[in-house]
Amino acid sequence: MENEILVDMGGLVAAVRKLLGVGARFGAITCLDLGDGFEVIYHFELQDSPAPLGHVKVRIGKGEALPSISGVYLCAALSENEMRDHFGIEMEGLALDFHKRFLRSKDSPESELLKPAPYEPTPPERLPVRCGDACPAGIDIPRYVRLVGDGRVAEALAVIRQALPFPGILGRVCFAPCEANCRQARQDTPIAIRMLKRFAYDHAAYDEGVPSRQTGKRVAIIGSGPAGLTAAYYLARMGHGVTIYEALPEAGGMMRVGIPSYRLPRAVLDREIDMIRRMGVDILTSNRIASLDTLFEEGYQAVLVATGAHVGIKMGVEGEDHHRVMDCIDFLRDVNLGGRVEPGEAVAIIGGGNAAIDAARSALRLGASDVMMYYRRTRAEMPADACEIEEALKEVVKIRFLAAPTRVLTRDDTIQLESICMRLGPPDASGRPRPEPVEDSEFTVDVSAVIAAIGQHPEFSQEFGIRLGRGNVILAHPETMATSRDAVFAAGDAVLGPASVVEAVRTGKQAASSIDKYLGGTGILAVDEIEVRDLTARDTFIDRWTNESIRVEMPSLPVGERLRGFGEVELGLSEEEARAEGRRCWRCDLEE
Amino acid sequence: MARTVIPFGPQHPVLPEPIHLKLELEDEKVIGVMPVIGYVHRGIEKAAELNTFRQNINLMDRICGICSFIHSLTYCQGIESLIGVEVPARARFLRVFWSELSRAHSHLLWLGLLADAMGFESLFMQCWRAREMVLDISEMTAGHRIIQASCTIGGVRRDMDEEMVREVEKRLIALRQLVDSSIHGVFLHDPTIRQRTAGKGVLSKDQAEVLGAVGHVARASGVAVDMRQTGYAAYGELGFEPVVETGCDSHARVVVRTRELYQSIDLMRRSLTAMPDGRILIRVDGYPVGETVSRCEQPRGEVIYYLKGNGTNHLERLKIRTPTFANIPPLLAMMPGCELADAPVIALSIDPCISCTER
Repeated sequence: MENEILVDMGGLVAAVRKLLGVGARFGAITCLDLGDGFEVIYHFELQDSPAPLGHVKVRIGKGEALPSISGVYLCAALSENEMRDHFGIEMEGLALDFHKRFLRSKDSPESELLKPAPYEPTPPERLPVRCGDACPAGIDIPRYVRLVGDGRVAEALAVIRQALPFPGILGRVCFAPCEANCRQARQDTPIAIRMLKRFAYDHAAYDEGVPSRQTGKRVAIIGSGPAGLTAAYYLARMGHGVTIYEALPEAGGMMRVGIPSYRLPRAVLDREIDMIRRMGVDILTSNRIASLDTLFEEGYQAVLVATGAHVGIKMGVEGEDHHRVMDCIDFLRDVNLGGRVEPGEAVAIIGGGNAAIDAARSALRLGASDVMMYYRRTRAEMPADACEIEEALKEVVKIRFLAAPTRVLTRDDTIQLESICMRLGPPDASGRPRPEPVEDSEFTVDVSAVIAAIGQHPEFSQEFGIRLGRGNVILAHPETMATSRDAVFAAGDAVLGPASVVEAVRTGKQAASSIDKYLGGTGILAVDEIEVRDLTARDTFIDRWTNESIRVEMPSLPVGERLRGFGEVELGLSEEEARAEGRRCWRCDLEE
Repeated sequence: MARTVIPFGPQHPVLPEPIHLKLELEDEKVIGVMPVIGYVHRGIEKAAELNTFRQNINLMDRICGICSFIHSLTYCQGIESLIGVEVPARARFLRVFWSELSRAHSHLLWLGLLADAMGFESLFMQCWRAREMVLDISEMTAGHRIIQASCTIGGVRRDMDEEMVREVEKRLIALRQLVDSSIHGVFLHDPTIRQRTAGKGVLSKDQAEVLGAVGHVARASGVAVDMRQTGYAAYGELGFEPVVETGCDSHARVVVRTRELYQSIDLMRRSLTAMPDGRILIRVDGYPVGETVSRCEQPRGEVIYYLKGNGTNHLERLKIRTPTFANIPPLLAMMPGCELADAPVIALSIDPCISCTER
């Protein structure tokens, strides 16, 4: 501070007397506990007001008695008594002595301002946040968003890696329930959390440690989709021997055969699966398991059924057995596994879910010029992700709302789709308005193919011997994922019905935890401990108040270029954009 | 001559504040006084170390119910100087506005309590009626009647649009008229008030200087101490001259405060007129490092904050010296020699605020 002098204890009274001589006005006394002693600062206003302050500093050891200046400035006596209360300093020659009962009463704590303080120096307390709560995989979202904003991408990736094994995939295909729950979503500008995840994966490497400890236990996982791979990853990290059986010729489950490669490039998928292979997980493809008993006979102590939901639901209309009427799941599988699929010029897609959108956008890329989706409710009720709908519309997918197919008229190779108009009635069991057909409103269109995408369900061999529930899904405990059969667990769409990758990750993690417990472990998922210091300033009030921030737009391929093939549509953020987006976060978790 | 010790407070009809004075009497005459405080000590200086430095803003707002804005202002100014932040001009003028609003509130409240202590109920009512107008302005501009909670590090949290400025202006004129018509003249000229205050609680200029009196107590004794002269916030631009009286007694203190009431109304109006457009808040990144002293003028006088930061989210030390703390020694010098019946008025004349004092 300006105008400060350091005096020793003997010179204190003389220094203060000198100040009185020049007409200084007494202000206050501050005492600081330095640990090994005290620093006492006397504040004076140097001359007639207004004037700068002067400070006299004196250091004393603990247990030493400080000479009082109340003989010079009587008014300092109160401050000295206060200092005595708070720090227990002995005073010499105090003009007015309250015997350490000035501010304190006999019930007050002793010397309350002494240090070390009787508290833990806090790592700032973090609050639960809506985005993090919304994440099925439980990623520490605000932290990684903040780290990306600070340009610490590797640490951000490590934070994501703690919660799930494949940030690259989820950074591209996740439907980001976090963004819908972001507080800034109220102003239509939620943080682009998913894009930041992708940015972290694309711009940083993460060194995956190979587990050293081996438990000697063996687990078989049926299905190499997101749930199976997640469980395999965590079980391998915990030292169990894991083998994945995959019925299809390639690993990845729905990520491979359901999600088109313009959303998820196969290179990314392969890299993520390779990482899991490197952890010591065996993936046996083209290997359909008919009975769980054979697995147990082979010596596996536990089995995880993560076979997904790969069977499309039938429309139940006349003429749907025609070979130009395809099931969406079969269609996508053929497309994604490189089979020859020619939907033709005019394609009708039935349904309004994400799979329907995927089928529509794939059909466009396969040469269809007129892709029309038929959905029996309106856009507000469409279950597909809003961004996906938006992208599909950009690529000129047409959507006919309030229309449902009634039959497929087949004549040799050409087919006609007859549909009926619908109107919205009172809400049904799902809470959405029930579509009701409008009488005599049938209409027909000539189409080259019909793709039914009205849902899918799992299918299991009777030999599995596990109890199934409505919709043919496995009945599993919602927390432990244990099935009705001992040592058999289930995860992913096989339990949930058609859900999402991130939901599959969640159940995969739960299953891995309880399989570990079942095999005698703790059930605590092994994650890398990372030390991250949050140093970003916490004041975002001004951002909230001014609300000048605008969500970053994901750069994407121009529509014309997209339709030439299955190249990835989203191009990823630049470093500048990603950092700006990360800084836009309100840091609700650090709110005070 | 019998000596008696009469406990005055902490519970006393004329004393809303929990201060306890042990009055030593010879017959009816006070010959000695000893203060006893500590009834509402809350350990706020310690709490300020436990909180993060931003949480402290809310804590500082609550040190005192009357000058709450100025407490947080002093604190924020200290943090701003430690981090090295320039506050936008509009925010500085708004800070003056709310500071003066607090002062008008405090002065009217105190004038009313003083009238009440003298048994002048109708005047008490008039003062509090005027105070109500101030509280309405506070509620309109800051959203709260008492604790404005409008100051933050880097500026203020609320802005006023033109319509609100016009409305405030209208109300301030009405307030001024009310003070003119039924408060100012009574305090200055009413013979009862004169008799109860003139010549009571005399504090000479020398005593005021030696005993470290601040605020209206010092200014009523001819000592021109007013932190607003240092020009913090926008006081430098607005121009400021302290109100000084030389009566050295309780009546002079009443006069100082009545005149300051006009000055506050005037400052508020001028700050709203002179207020430039622009931002009211700037972003403050970083953590306080180093030590500083921040001073402001509260309704009761100079408040001193000593802040020491260590570059973390928590302050190393926050020391608060409030005006009443500095005015207790002068009070002890005023009392001896007075009649017991005058003791309440003299004690009130320094406008003790014990929740500030004890923190």
